[in-house]
Amino acid sequence: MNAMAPFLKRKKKLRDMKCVLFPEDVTETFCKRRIPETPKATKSSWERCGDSFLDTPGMEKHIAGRQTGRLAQTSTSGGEDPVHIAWTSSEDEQSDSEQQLPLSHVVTKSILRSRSTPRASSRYSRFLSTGADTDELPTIDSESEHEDISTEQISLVSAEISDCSSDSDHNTSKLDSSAQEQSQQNRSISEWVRSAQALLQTPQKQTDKNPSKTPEDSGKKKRKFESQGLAERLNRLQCRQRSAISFWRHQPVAGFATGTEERPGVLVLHVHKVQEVCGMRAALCHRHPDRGMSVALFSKETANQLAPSTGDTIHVHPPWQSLTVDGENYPIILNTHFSQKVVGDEKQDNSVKLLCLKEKAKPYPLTRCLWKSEENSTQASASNKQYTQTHGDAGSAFESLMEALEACGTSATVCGPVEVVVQRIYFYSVTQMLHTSLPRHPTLSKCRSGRAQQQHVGRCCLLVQDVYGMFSEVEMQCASSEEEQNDFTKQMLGKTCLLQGLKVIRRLTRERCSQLFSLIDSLWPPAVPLQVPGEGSCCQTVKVAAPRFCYRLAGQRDSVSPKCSSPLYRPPLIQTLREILQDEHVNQRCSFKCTLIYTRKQGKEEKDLLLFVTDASLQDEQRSEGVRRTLPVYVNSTSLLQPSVLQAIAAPSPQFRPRFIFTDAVIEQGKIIITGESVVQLDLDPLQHQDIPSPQSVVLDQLSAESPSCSLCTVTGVVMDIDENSAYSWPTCSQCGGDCLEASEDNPDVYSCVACGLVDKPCKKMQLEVFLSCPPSSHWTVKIKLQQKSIMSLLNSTGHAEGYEAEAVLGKSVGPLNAFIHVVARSSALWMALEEIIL
Amino acid sequence: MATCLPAVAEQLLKDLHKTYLEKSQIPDELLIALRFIFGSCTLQALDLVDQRAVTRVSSPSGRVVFQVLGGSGRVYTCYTSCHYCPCPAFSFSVLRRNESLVCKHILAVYLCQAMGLCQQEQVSDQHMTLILSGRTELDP
Repeated sequence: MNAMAPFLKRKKKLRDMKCVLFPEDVTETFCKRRIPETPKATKSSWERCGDSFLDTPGMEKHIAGRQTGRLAQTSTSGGEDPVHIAWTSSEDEQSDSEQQLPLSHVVTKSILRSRSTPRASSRYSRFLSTGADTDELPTIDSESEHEDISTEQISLVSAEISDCSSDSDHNTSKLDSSAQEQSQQNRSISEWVRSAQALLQTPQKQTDKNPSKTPEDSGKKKRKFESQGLAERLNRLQCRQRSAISFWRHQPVAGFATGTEERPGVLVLHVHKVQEVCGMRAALCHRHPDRGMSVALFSKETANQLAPSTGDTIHVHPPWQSLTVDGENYPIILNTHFSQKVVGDEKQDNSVKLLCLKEKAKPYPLTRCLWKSEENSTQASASNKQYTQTHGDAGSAFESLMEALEACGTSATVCGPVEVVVQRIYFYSVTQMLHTSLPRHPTLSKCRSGRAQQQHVGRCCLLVQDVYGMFSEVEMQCASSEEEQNDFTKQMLGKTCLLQGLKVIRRLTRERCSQLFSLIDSLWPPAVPLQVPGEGSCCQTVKVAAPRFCYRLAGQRDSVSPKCSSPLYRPPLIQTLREILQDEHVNQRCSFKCTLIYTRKQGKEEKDLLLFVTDASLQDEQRSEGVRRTLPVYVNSTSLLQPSVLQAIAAPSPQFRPRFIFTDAVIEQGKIIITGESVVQLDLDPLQHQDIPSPQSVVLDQLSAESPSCSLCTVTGVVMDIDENSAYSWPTCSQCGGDCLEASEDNPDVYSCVACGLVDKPCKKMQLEVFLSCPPSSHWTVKIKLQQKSIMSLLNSTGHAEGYEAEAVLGKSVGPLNAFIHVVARSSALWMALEEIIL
Repeated sequence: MATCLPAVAEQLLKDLHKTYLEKSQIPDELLIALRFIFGSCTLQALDLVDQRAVTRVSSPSGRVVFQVLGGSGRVYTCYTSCHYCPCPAFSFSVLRRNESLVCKHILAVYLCQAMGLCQQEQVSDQHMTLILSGRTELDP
């Protein structure tokens, strides 16, 4: 095909070149090779050519050239007169002749026509008649050698001429003249004469052959196909079929009209309607006798011969094929090569007219595709099949969450079964509005919050992962009791589970749900290499980024059935607090064991908790910069703490310091936050208790200028001033501690408690806030709210237990006191507000 | 009636897919039927199949195109869900004259898909963009 380009270039110059050389023109041509020759000159050359060919089949002295559709000859004058015959041909493949657009073809034809003289056409008139029947243009292989010209090829050349001179408009190149083919200039005259003789002798034979010319004549290309290839096989089959058709058409027609209907296998079709479909004819037929309607397809070649039209009766001889296609009303009959029209005399004229009126179907739309990949349909059917599997049978469950989700289609109501690993289980509470159908809608819940009653609903969540690394959060109703929760966790965590019958709630993205994804990130990279989707057993070797989205699913307890432990499970990594604080915070999640030393309630309605924890690593003698001995842990109100944990938090005492295991706490700018995805458990392992600091020996940081707010410290100092406004005392019931007391009318010292009704001598409660000067520096102001015990000891030191004199208190030293730092103001001068606490 | 030819073509390709998957060969009847439906370009299309001239090019974004190395050495890009080939034979015989259902390239793509004989090639998304915008069509 690469030969096309030079041919094209030559073709453009066609008009400029002297294409046809005859004995008389030789000299002239040789001298003025580039001078255009007038059509008239060409015409005369043709006439003479015809004569000379007739008269002198074997030329000796003169060099004759003649140009047919594909033949060009170049001659030079001289004693030996070597003849240069350049056999050129255009591409033999229709599709490959892409550069030859119809326009160039028209040019080619016009040149040809200009050369066609009456004599020439009369000479080839016998080809014209057959050429009209030629639908596929026969072509000659470009590689064919001069010596190889078979009679067949020459006949094809002739047929092509006739075709071109008729008005058929085909996209095949017909003519190529090359006057200067350097590579083929060494032909001897005798060789040429042989070819010329062959050229002249063949038409006689061809005329006999032509009427039986079969559609596959174009298959006679001398193409080399891959041996044992499909094309080679089809080529063989085509040849066989072609000869069969030729043979069949040569049979006497006599028998058809009479005995056909009795012959077995012969279809008798009554044509109702004919339509042209992409070059073929589709005929809606009635199959005789009473076999219903069929659509018979006729190839263009057969149709041209048959000219099927409404009302015709066509006999189709075997082997034909009938095909029933889904979506088509009638069976379709193929391979109708052996078709014969049974024509009544009266129909002969009508058929021609009707043929002209035949409908042409619309072309096949470009937006469709003949080959439809069945991947989707098979997948869908597979999923349906899998979903009907019985509960617990994971034999054919999906391995991929995405596949399972895709399989549930657009409704996204139910998915599964899919095999996953339960990486984490956590519990949290959500606030639901009663009688609200859309509790999750933020604006709606805001609107209704005033009226509707709020309800806190516990949720249990499973963070699951499939073998491809994809995550999903499975949300379900919380197990009621703590024991059940623990059992559930024990049963599921780290196990391969089968999920079934889940609803898809929503798609969560990294941007919208950063907390969940910080947990997912802490589970990345996976413990074992992931599988690659679509690669079967292949495992991922390169580092893959954590997923950017996941789905939240909802299900019931029985939606999850555990199987065995999975190697993909990544248990939380328990670190010491020192490790966590010194860590570069690659992960935003951390897990640790610690001892609770102090609890404060915070926020509105005191729902949030502030826990101060420590562990052996922080209590160590070794000090390092920036690491404090105690650590605040913020417990978000959304996390659902177990009752036992709440109980332990509520009542820490010097005798009982509960130990906890915090799992997947968020660490953010040095703050540790317990969110919905975190888990807080009591650490009940007795062995662990050995390394906790004994209650008495909990060491806090000394108050310094760098102490942050919301931290614990010990403070020692000298009282510099007293906040008079905050200094007061009040009586409380000694029994219940209530401060609603009523003074007895007769004895002002006797009170009766409103709460418990006890009449007793009440206790006196005192409050005092003092300003301290702390030894390292006196440049900052420290105000501390003292506990009763400290106040008492302070007052006792002055000798006035019941009251105080400011002068007596000033200058007294206090401490060391344990204190919670409320506020640190560093704006102008350092100012701190502390509260003494009891650990 | 107008839909019968594409319907038969689809059915034949499905049969081809099934048969080739099971037996790794194609019976003569099916070859003859393909030849009957798709016409003379069947032979050339099968030759392209024999030569493994069809490459399935995919990119990480999931886009897939088919590239057919034509006999001329030119590469034609066909699409997965579109019945189109940029070759002149397609625009002339299929689009303009409506006298053929396919050109040999698109038929070769269909046949290769049905038989699973496409060569596979992975390209970057940028390269796929170039292919789809027709800029690398001349590169083999």
